[in-house]
Amino acid sequence: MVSKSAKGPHNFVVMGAGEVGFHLARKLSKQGHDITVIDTDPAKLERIDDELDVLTVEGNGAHPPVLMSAKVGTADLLIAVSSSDEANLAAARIAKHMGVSRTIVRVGEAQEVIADRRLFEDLFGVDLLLSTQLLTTTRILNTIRGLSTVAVEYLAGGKVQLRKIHLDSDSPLTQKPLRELVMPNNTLVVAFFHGEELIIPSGNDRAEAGDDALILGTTDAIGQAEKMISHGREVIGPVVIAGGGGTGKTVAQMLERVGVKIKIIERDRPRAKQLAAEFPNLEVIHGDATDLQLLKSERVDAAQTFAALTGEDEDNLMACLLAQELEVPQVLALVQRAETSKLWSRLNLHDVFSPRAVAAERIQDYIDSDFSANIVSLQRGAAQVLERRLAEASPAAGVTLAEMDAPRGLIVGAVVRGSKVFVPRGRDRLEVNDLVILFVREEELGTVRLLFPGQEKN
Amino acid sequence: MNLRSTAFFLGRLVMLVAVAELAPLVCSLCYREWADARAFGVSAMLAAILGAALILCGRRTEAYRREGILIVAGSWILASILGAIPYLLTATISSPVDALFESASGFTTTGASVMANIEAAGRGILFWRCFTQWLGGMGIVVLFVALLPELGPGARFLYKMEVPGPSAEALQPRIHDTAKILWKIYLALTATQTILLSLAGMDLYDALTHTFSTLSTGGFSPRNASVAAFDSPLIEIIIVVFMFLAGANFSLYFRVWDQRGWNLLKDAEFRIYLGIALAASTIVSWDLMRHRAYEGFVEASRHGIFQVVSLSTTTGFASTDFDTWPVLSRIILVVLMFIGGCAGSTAGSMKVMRMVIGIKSAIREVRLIFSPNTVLSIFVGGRRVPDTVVRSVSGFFILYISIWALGALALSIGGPDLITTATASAATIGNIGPGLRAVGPTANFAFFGSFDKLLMVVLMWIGRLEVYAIAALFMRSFWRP
Repeated sequence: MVSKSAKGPHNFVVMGAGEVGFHLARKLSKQGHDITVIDTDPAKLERIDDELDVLTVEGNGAHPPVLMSAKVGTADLLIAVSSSDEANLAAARIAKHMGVSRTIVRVGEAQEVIADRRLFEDLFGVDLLLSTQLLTTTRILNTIRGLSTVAVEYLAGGKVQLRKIHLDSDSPLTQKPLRELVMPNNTLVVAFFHGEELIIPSGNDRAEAGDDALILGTTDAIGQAEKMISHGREVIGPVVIAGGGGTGKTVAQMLERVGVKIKIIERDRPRAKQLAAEFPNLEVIHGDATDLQLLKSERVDAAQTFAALTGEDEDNLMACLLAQELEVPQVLALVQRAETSKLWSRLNLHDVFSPRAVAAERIQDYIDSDFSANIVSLQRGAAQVLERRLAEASPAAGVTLAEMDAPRGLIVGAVVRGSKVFVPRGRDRLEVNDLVILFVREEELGTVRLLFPGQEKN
Repeated sequence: MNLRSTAFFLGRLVMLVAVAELAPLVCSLCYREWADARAFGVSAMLAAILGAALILCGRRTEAYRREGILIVAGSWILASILGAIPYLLTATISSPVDALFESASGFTTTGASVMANIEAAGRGILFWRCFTQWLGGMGIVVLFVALLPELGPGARFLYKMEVPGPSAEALQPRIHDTAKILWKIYLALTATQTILLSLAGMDLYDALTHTFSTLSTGGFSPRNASVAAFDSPLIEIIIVVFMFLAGANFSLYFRVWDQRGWNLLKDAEFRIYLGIALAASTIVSWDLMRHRAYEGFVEASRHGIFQVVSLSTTTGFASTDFDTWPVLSRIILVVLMFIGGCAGSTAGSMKVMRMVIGIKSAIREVRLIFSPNTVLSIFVGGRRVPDTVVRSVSGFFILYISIWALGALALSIGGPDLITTATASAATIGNIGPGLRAVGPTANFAFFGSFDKLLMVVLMWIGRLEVYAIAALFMRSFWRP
């Protein structure tokens, strides 16, 4: 693959002139990149034509002639951020066939990214699959829980996670050597990022404040490890969420998993009923979150956190102002229109999340990092995460980790065996048909091929 | 209205004119015309001082639509005024109004002249005359955009305001790169034609000056008799070919080079443009034959083709005195003057593309009379024309024809006859140059009064910037939002 410098001017094709597309086109064009924007709506393109120095192409990006006239074949990157997931995926596949170097596809639902990322990547030639909802939800969760997680990556269809956590001087990882630290079961400290350097630590190593740590663990257990490392709030007070749509629902669901008391206020009766049926542990209230009487009677003033996550900016604004009036310590809001974010910052809210800005930021990160999609290969491909199915012929089958004596640059991070997921220790034995998650430094890729023969997957 | 940002941009543009005036200075030095060289030096200095003053007064801020319109219109007005100074300082033309007319006629690639004896002027000044046409042909604002990469999004609007045609096509994501490509194509054509004309027997000076006014479809010649002075069929063939190329959309040449297997005939507008030229040449040649205007078929078609291409591309070169032609031929030439070349070319007038869209839109209206509920879109070459473009084309027609008619009306107050005033108005608003009768190919525009000349200067600006940019300046709400 051709790798150009991250700073050099690139040729990008942006499909979809919505909020994210427009925002990105403006930002990237100002940085000196050459941008072509595709959209079906001539009115949107006209606005872009008026305000930005970019080329516009009218048409559906999933149609080959349209991609052809946008000259996607010679572009460095296709950013498919139109409102249709299917069109985005199809465009990525066609563009790859035409010769585009890389593709980014945005999908709506968080679940698609968690469960089917690799499938999409392989099937549709997607280099970076992202869900606006997932990115936003993760940010909101981290803020509520007081965690300093920078990025999350889902592996093995969401059963295993890799998290990059920022370490401050309070973190136990910076105080004691790794050997003296008792990590929760089924979690593992994989690496430290010290500036540009990637360190695979031994028992005697200790991180420095300001480093990032990379933690791998099963989805059930990683929360504990994360809390321990980033000194997150031990006990989270009651949380009130306004709006039970996609984002609100996902946030509630994930908070519930760590045992937080949650109330959801939903205006739509059928949706409220459905939520209550789906999550018996949630307290679902049917009502209007912009109604002060309702908020008072539901004792919102006693909540630790109030998150306004409805789809309407105006409702969120109103609800937040009311929650502030009730002196809720932490007030969060979801803002759809990215350009109003500045106005919101005057309100003294704890934090404001704009899904569009979050997605644009993630894409910008991807471009700035020389097109490295996953968080471990941020160090210019110094290390990779691989998923391998253990074949019968594999020398690693039937061997314990201690016997295998893998070099330091090769870590067997997790094993998925049927429905069981665990982080293996020295005495655990690998079996045929296990799905193993490997964390590998560049120089040990040969060893991997030897021990775990199979299809090369990134 | 942000006058300071306008001043900043205009200042830089004036600087560009100052640099451009160094070219005729060098030419004057080559021909040992010391006084003329000094006149160009002084003119360049004056332009540089004005440019510096504007830049100092101005401030670099974002330019929006109003500022963009003022920048484009102001560029042409200032360039024409500054371009007139060398005519005065070299004493080629004594009246300031005449000098402005000659200069505006140059920059707008009109080619109408007030100079009776052209060959009496210095070599440097005649070089300047053709050079202004060359600069104005591809567009001074487009040149400006091509030279300055940092203009940003505002440059896109400037580009659209200057490039002729209903919708300016961008070839590259950045408008700066598009402008650069257009200028490169222009330079390549200039080099090719200069070499060919030299090979055909012209000296370098004649080859270069005629190339300048051919590719810009301007029509100035340093000879009194225009192209007829050389009386060479070979030179006429070369000039016909390059006039025709200059009257076609320049972005087509980029596509030919960029896309394998693509040729000019795949473009709908080019096909119609070619068809009009072929049909008109045939009829005019036949008409000339019929009236025995020339000796034999070859001679008739030689002048027929040359004049048809010369007037339909709005160049205005003369290989013969077409004012003496039979009426059918003259009518065809007048019709061609109103059609003009293609969108995105250096040609003036209404443009083939607008004609096509306009006629199709009119046909649509007719169909809607008997089937009012039909939803009809307008297609040109298989591509749908957006309704905003159709609307702007209709508006353009009305404005163009009204302004032409008003121009003819105003000129006839002191004008000699109907044909003279009507074609003088058409020849200036269409950036063509010669008309018929008293403004025919062997005559000039000197006899008009000062008011008439100023009016025609405005007509030339209106024609070059395709009405809207100049028309906006006459709207009260433009100045007071």
